[in-house]
Amino acid sequence: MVQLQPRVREFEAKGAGLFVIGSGLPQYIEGFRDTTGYTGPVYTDPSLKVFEKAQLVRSVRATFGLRSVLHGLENLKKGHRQGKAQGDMLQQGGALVIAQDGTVLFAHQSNAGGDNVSPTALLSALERRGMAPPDSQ
Amino acid sequence: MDNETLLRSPTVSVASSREVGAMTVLNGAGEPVEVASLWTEVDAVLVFVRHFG
Repeated sequence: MVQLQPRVREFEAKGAGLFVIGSGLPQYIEGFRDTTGYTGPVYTDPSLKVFEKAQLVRSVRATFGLRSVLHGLENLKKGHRQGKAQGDMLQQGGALVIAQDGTVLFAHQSNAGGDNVSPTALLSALERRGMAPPDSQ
Repeated sequence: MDNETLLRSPTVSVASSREVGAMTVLNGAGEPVEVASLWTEVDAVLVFVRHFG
């Protein structure tokens, strides 16, 4: 999220809205804003149904696997400390870019902590609007 | 899977916007919001975070 906040205007310039969806209780949204500095729309789904429909990973291995541990250590070295988690600990994140007509332009599933999609990849997906879907040809 | 997907990460299985859009999420006041409403006026970049902490 820290990666995205400085680039919010780039998404707006491409006519897109950036929406954050978490899994904690709604009352934790303000704390998330305070922590990240993100001022855009934030929603949550403690039931995790939207995460399931988005086909995002939820597993012990993804949460506590070697890759996640290494990422955590790397963050500690950088001076970033994770606060108390507010949400489902086993649920991984991800991203979807969806056009106004419902076309899924891009999908990313995180497979471990730190497996975040880059803002550049999301912005590039928005530039592909209007291209013919390869599967439909 | 819909045939409307243009791009995806190599290992990802692709979600259906219809299925995702039919879900509801909660805003900061705890009010339900239909996910599909997020892309009625603009293209939507949905970023799913692991947790709020």
